Amino acid sequence: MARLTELAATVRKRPALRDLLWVLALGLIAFWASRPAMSGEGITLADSQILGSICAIMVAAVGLNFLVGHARLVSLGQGAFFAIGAYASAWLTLDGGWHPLLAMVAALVIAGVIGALLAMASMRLRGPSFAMITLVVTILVERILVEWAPLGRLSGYPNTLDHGSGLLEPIKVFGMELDPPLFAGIPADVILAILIVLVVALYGYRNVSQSSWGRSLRAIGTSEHLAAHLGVNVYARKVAAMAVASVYGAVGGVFYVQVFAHLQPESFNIYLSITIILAVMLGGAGTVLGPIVGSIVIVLLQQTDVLQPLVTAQKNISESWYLSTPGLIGLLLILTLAVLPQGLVGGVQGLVHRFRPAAVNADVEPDAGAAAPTAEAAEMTEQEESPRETSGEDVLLTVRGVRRMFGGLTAVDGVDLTVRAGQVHALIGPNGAGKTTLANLITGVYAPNEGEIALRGQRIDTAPTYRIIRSGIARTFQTPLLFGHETVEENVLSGFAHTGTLPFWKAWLKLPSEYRRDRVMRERTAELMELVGLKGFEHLEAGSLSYGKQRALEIARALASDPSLLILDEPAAGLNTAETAELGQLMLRLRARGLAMIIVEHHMELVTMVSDEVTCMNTGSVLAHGKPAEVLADPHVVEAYLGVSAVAEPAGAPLERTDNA
Amino acid sequence: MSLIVNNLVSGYGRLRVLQEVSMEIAPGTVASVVGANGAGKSTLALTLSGLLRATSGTIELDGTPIQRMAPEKRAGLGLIHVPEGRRLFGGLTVAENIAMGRHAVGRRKGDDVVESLLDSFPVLRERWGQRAGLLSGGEQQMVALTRAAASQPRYLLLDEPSLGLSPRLSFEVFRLISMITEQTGAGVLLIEQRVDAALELATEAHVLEHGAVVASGPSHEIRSSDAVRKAYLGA
Amino acid sequence: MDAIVSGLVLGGLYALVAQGFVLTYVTSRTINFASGEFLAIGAFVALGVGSWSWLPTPGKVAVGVVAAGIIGAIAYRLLVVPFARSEHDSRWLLSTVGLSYVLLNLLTHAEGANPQKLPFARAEGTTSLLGVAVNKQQLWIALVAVLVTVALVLGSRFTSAGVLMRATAEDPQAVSLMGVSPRRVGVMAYALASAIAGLAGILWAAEVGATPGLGVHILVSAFAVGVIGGLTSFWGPLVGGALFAVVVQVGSYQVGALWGQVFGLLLVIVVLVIRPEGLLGRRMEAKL
Repeated sequence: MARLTELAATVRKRPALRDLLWVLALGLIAFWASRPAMSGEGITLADSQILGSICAIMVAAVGLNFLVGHARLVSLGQGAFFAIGAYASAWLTLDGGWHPLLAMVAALVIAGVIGALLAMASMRLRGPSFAMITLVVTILVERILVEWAPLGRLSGYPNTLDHGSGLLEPIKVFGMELDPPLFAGIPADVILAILIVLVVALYGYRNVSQSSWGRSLRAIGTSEHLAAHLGVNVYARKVAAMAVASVYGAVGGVFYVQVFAHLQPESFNIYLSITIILAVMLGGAGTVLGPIVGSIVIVLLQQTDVLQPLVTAQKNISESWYLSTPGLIGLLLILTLAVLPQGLVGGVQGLVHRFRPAAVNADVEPDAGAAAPTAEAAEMTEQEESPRETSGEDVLLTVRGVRRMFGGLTAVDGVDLTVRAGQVHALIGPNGAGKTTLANLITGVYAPNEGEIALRGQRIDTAPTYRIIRSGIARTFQTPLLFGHETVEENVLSGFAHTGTLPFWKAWLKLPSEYRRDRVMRERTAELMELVGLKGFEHLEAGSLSYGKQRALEIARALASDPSLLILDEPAAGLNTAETAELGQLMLRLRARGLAMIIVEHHMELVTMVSDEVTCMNTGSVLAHGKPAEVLADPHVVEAYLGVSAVAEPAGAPLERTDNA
Repeated sequence: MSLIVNNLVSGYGRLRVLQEVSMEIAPGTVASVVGANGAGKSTLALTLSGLLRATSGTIELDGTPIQRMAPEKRAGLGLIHVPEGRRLFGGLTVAENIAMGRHAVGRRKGDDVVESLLDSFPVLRERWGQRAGLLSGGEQQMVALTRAAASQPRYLLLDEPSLGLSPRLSFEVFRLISMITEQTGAGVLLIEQRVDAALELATEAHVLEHGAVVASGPSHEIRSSDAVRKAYLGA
Repeated sequence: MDAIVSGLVLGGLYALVAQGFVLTYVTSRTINFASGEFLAIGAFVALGVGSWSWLPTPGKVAVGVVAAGIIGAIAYRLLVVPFARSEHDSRWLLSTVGLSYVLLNLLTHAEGANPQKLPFARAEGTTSLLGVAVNKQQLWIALVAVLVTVALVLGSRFTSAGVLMRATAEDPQAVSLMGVSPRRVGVMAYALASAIAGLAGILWAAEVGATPGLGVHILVSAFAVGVIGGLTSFWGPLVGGALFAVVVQVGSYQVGALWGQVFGLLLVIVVLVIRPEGLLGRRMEAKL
């Protein structure tokens, strides 16, 4: 037992070994599953066909999981790409006379291109329109299959009339003929080939899901605003995700052709799309294993007679009002949504998470020891990193004459602001003064109507958010935007620039360089968590953290991109006095390392404690600017905060600076 | 008979904003809540009107516990909230906006109050058929208040009624508020940026800091204490 | 010319169904993906009361329409409200798809897949419009679509329920502060939308016969129409329906029946690229 635990610990520490074991396990299962088919005995044919269907649905479902599970884009079109993959590969082989392997690759390319084009057209849509469009595409594809003569219409493809045979020839690879599970006595070796391709596809899928690329999709699913601020080109990434999902869908179609050697248009109706999305939802959208489990369950429900007793039971009550398999599947979809919104796998993981925190707390006691960053830890990290070379006079960010209007309302009206390298600049002012709008203008959420913003002399006011972020700005949000259901560590990892820059193929292949990069990121994550006081919380769900810790987590994530300017939007909002003081200490430590910050804040104690300069805004323009004490004593500032007549009373009496909290 | 808030706790997700707030508002009086941004003033109003669920604590409206009721039920009982930013229906005309206010009490009641407000503020009648979104900020605020008056409020929650308005317009808005209070006899919870004006209008005042009430009392006393200045400027 | 006129006429049917999407979308930001089955429900209920000879035709139609409306309201309460808890919660989409399967399956078993003749609410034969022979029933449906649109536009402007609906479209929370539950408005919208779908179903079934799958293909065209016209304007479906159906018809006449549909879809995509909110739709600014 102890040995086993030890072994488990070793595996956990060595990601390469873990991935290898995962593939091995998958391969073994696949090999085991393929044995009846390889025997070629007549009684195995039906089971082999079901196995083939499972493989086809599974690969389409894991592809759809990128969209529905990670990026939260509900697509009812996966069946269309499945159909495109099936028909295109079959048609190119038979009518086109291409080599079957070439035809398959071409079919995947066609599906990917169509998917990408569709995404380019529809990715600006919000809400149900995307689902509506994908549904329209599905129906349209079915229409074409039913009515377009070259594809055989309702006679199917191929058909005896046009092609002399109703079945496609088995393909030959390296001199081996891969036979489908259709004839008794002939081993269905195509099943083995399909399983091998499936394992490879699943390996790549898992790599992507766990990589920075997968994180970028989850960021998009959480909030596109957040994703852009992690340096992700949201539009391009969504198009890429759609293309990838489409290719995976087409792989499912290619599998289907090889298993059944014949295509009927009615197999590719909207019901197929629903089946695939149900596989994802039932298993658990967004989890790695979910769609894999879900597709096995759903195909077995559909193609075996396990549901038959339910149908019979209904028929005993009424001969005409009952549900058969499609209706029961619809009902199952509704029930899954209501009872298991996280799906089977997601539900189990949720249970595991619920028991896990206790174990972690017992081990590390994060609240007692590690919660407050010790001076020692801080010193240690400071020694490790030499502070950036900055003299306080280097201008980092300049905002000049910036104006932004919304409709008739001028939210920011000719604001000037200068942030010097390594300095903290506080932005204060009453509600509606335009502080957050200014922060949004700096990170490119809006473009200014007038004026210039420059970072190290480079104009950034027309650049999209993800470019601004990549040029060295990071920020936190007024209300923390986190992956609530994922671990703290995973949240910090999403902050690295890699999230926006990792190319898909690298994520898919996971070359040794990626393992190295991953290790470096995890080490850095551990440092950052120590720095912000989250050591020992790594494996907790982010949503279960206290509000103060969530704020700290956002800061750690922002620091992961190694920014030269950090924008903190009301970081102390909702923190208690002790947490605010801790935050102040953290900011001072960051400043000591040469990080420049803009802090939008209402807690004046914090502002006085950390800032080098203060700008007070009111109704969109700068009211006062200078050292903290000067600005807070400025009668106009007092007036802006306290109302009209406050100036008249103890006019201009300098306010005492107190460090109490 | 009054609006009694007892140990109210609420917030957003894991964030706890209000920490056991208690206060009482009697009909016909104005209670002012002042405090820095982020102190929890708007959260208090949202929790009272039901747009935000209370985590714990009770709210009693003339003896009825309402902390579990949906916002529309609370409005039906006469607890009317004029939220920050007014939340007018910009695409609806002034007339339609005010008609919306009547839904809370059923048709046609509250019309005499509205009529007299319209007589005192003829600008509203001039704008009667215009879309509310095209009005100036001050006019919008007046429409929002008139809409609230049409609901025949027993208690009014006013969140930053003078936000973004010039001093002169603010003065008009405050005049409208006192008229509504007089004519409907409603108890008012007034959340205001312009502390002095608010304290002048109010009989009672509460200072909110970090979600907790740190000082309460007759508004003239609060006005001369340091609590307010400290709450806003941290000194 | 033939194609244009027949397109305009056919567009009426799609527009009628798409009108329901606008109703539910503006009030609750959701759409009933089972709308197609509500066409069938309306038709079969009307068919069911078809033998009541004491009931005049408008009465039979009304029974079908009301039944569809009531079932729609229940579907909203049970299958949309619990699955649309926040802006990010789009489970309602899949739950209504699930409902569509349940209803389709149930109706197929109960009524069989073969068309059943609806012996009333039918205008037989053709008539001449601008020199083109058009099917009377289709023309009749197009007229109903225009009437329904005008009624919705006037109703939303001049009735208190209409004002309430527009207010909910803008700010459901503020509506709840006026003492009205936005869900009640949603129930109203779903009832009305499903009733309109039921009406479309009865009128269309009188032409082609009642089948469980009556609405499946119409639904898809109606989606296209909704997206083209925009989901936030009552005039949108009429404009979208006319445009879409004319393109489909002209394409069918010129190139072939299949390609008409393809052109229709391409039109949808072109509109999406140029104006994602639809030709007459208003852009909903998302506040950050």
